[in-house]
Amino acid sequence: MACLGLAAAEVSCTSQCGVSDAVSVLDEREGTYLVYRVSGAQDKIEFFEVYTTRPEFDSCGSTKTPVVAKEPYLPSQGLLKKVEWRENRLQIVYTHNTSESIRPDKARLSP
Amino acid sequence: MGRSGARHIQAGPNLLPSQLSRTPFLDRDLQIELRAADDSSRTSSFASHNSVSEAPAAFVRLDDLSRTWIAYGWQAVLLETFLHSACFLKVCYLGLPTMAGFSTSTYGAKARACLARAAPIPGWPLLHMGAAALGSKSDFDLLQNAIDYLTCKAKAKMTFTDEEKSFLKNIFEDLWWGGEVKSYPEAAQLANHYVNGKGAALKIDAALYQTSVIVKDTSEAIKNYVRELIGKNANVAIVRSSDLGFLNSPQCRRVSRGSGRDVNRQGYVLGDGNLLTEQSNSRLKNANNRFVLVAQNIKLGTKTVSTRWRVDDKYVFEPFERADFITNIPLSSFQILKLPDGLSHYMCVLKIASEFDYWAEWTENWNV
Repeated sequence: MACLGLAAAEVSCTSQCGVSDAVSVLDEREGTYLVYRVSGAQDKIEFFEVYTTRPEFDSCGSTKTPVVAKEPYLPSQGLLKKVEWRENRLQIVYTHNTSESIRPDKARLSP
Repeated sequence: MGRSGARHIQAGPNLLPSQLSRTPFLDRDLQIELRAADDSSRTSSFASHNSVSEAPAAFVRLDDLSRTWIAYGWQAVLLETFLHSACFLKVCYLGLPTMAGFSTSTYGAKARACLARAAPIPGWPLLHMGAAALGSKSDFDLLQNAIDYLTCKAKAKMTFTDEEKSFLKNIFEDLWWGGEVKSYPEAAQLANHYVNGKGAALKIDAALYQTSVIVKDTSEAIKNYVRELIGKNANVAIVRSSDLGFLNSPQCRRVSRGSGRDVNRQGYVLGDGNLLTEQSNSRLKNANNRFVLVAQNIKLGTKTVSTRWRVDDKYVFEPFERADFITNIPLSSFQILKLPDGLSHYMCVLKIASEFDYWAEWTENWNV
């Protein structure tokens, strides 16, 4: 039990988040970065984020780079068609047509 | 594993037993038996499972097949059959009914893919997690390879050994250990209840919600909405954040998405009335990322309302078919254990975990 306690303490002390966000930089265009983030444990929410400086993420999925825009992708509203970044505004475009839908992790910045 | 999961296949007339004997049988739940119809002594057994002893539940004849694949989980067996012979093949196996049969493509491919990934299942996962946290790549790889292998088995809807079930259960229990120390007691409690709660409803600490920015702001918005309703002599007994009346109210618009609120620091109310947790609140985010807030109101005289705030939700993971979500468990700054939600969901199919309802409530008296 002592070993288990030490092991638990070690696991706990080396990382400050129990569950980390899954983050990936999907696209970069003229200094604008599109990031896809999935947060939560059993109840997950997907986000698209835009940065104007390349973000570096720690093991918890956190970054010190300020996010310029952040919008949730809500499957209840439909399938993902595209992600638009226009005039400093991030817009997620939905569709109900499977043939024109894309996977969220395949999204790219659309002008 | 019960009798209802058994499948038996009898084939004939002639076979080439050598085709079978060359095939490695790694699945513990499989038994293949060759028996000549006119000579019951010609029996070869390839079983590694010692519980296959029940009588055949069904037989399928393969008389007219000259060549077929019989696939089961880990391997596909090529059977050469020749007409006008009296040799029978009986394949007896225990397992999920969906794994049965003569699949010629998908299932065999999945099975072979799993076979290629076969990995040892470590005992005491917490010790390996601790070692991985100290930087041991071999311990980390041991855990991740086992999870990847079990994920493959789950996707192929294969049965799990007791050792494999125990490993998965331990992973969730170890999340509880870590969560307790890391100040995520509710997330830890929920994970532990998933594998030990037998599906019973669970009450969690209301402080989790009471300290949340979006909960505090939305409860203020609901109280203002209730004040307005009381002024109109309307019924205020139960108000939900998902009620159309509230969603269309000016009180709700101030906390809604699109109101300029910062989702990281403040969270907001989504269009369907769910509160989206402020993302900087890891304690709440790891336990409940979105939820409906309910106010059960009782008027105490003319100036005071007693509100019982309540949040109800369900602890459930998405299956493979619906999402590719992965739960990331950081063991160190550079080693993150990846646990697919589909595998967590499959634990319910294996009956080593149960979905359950959880809830929290607290009471507040306030002036109209």
